[in-house]
Amino acid sequence: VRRERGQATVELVAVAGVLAAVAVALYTLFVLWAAQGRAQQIADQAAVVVAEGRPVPAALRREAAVRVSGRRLEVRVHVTLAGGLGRTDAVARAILP
Amino acid sequence: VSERGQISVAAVAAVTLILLGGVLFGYLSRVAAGGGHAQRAADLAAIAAARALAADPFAGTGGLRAAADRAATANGARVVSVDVVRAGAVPRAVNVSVALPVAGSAPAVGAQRHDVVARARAGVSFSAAVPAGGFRPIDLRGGRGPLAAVAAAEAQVGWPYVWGGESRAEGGFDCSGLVDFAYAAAGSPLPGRPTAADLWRLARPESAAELAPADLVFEGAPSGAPYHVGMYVGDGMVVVAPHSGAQVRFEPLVAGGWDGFGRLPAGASAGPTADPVVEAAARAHQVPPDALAAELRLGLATDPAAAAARLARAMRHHPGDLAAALAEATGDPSAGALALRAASGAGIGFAADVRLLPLPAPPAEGSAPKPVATVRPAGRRSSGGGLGGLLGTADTAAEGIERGAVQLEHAGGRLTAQALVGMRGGLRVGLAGAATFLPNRHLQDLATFAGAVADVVAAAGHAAEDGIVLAGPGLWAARITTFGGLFFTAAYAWQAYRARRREDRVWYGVQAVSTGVATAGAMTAGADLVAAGAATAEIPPLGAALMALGGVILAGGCIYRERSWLLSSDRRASRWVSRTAVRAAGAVADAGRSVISSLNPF
Repeated sequence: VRRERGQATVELVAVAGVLAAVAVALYTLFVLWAAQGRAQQIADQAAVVVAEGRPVPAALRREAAVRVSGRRLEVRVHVTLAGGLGRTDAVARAILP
Repeated sequence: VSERGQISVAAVAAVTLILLGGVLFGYLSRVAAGGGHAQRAADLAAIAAARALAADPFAGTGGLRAAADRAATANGARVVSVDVVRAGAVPRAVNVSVALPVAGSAPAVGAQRHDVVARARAGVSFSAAVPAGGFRPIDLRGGRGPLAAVAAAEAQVGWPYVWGGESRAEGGFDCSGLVDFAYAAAGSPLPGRPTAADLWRLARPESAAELAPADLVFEGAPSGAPYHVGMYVGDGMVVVAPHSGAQVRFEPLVAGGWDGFGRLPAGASAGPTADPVVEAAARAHQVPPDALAAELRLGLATDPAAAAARLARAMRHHPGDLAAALAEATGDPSAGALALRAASGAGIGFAADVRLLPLPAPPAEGSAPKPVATVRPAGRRSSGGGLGGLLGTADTAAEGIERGAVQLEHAGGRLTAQALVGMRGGLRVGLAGAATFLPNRHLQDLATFAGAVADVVAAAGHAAEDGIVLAGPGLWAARITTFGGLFFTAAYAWQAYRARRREDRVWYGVQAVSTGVATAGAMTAGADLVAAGAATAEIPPLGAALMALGGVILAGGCIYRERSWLLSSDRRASRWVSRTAVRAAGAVADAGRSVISSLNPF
């Protein structure tokens, strides 16, 4: 019985570390997923207004970088990961008629 | 009692569950994105078709479908249907339906491939304006010669008389300016800018009895220098710009005091002839026959006399503005603009506005169209009494949920039926989590039992058909669960071996056997299940049957373990079960609503 003293504590600390790493990874994935979804939404809205012959609303431009090149429309939403340790863009595209 | 490894076992289980949840979450997001992609493809295809319609309001469905198909294909979909909403011949909107294939797989349901169908409507409205600096162009539809000159002159009915005027730029026409304009429009321009006297000199004199359409009638001819001229249009009528304060109009020949008649050299008439009924109605109501004919041609009116009366009334309300008059006469600015363009030809200022419109409300109950997409895992069937009856009940419940999802899909447009596949997978993971983390042993066993039944239903269905095709996230989930299954088989076997009570030995043994059998079933997929480079793996029907058998063993173990609890006649226990069931049902309903809300962007 003496040899098992502290065993649960060691395991608990290890598990807490693993769970924390998994939580951070999942949170990062969630942030990326949410940004990708938002980029897609903005691309959908922007594609419709551009196809209708109207300018992209300023509200959308404030939220994302919208670029129209020929028939291609590209939307980039900037994403900050892990409290500023990393940055990336969620990108969505649409082909205009 | 040794506690070594207990936390580690729980942690491995938790991490496995989290990973499985992550896989399913990814699948759900992919499916939801598929629905969004379909809607965007439908929106853009509808706009493309509406733009084609704006460019050519009388384009056939084939041309519109080609335009829609290009836009849909560029966004990964294909056009299912295109139909134009018209009022008469005036296009109002285009309805486009597209299908976007979504493929994927999820644990317990295998590979799924379905067309997500999305619909969109784009409206088109027209506007037209006479060019500010010129006369109203006329579409003579290829006509030339005297009859074309008559049509050109008649089209100016309603413009004001302006002395010396020959165009709208000058505010209107004088009598000779109208004749000069009409002959020029008909392709027979006259030399210079002739006055009435000049026209008299250019014309070959004739008698009144010899008058033909486009011949000229004069006042003051006996002097050799007439001061007024009009154009004979046939049927005893003359079109003339009479005097200041009046407008270009029709007059009976006998009412004008014409004393000279002549014919200009204009060649032979060519091109379409006017409809005498329309001509008569237009002359009777002092409206341009070409505008009236355009209204009738577009189906905006059927009775020429009534339409002419409406247009005459509208022209009095909007003097000098035929666009506004046609808008009032037809009751629709877009239709009026199209009529003006049909009468005036391509030379008129014409524009079209394209906008995405909300879809009309779905048809009433009873006439609802066939659901556009449903998910039905292959081979799922109910099979009579006993376990079959239980499966049938579960199957009915699943179909009810499925129907609800399809209805939501119709209402919201973006919750795809495929999402249901992921929702089922998510619920299955939730049951596994509940079986691990619920504080009460009875509830844990209940969750385990429910999960086992769900597995049996799914796997038995696949066993009856072609097995399970795994691909994408589903394949990875299967890989993880297979390795997890091997681990837990060994862990349960070890616990059964170490257990002191008979009850525990049976329970752990049952879990070891059921997990082992189900894992063996999954492993019948062969090397593809292990090879990371494989894109797909296929569990044969025998493997699916083993997976179903594993579920049956586990469900039986749950019943065995809870036999005393289930058979207890204690009334308090019964009440507790009832209350708990009601709470659980409420919690499941809340959770389902939350999941649906989170998936539906509307």
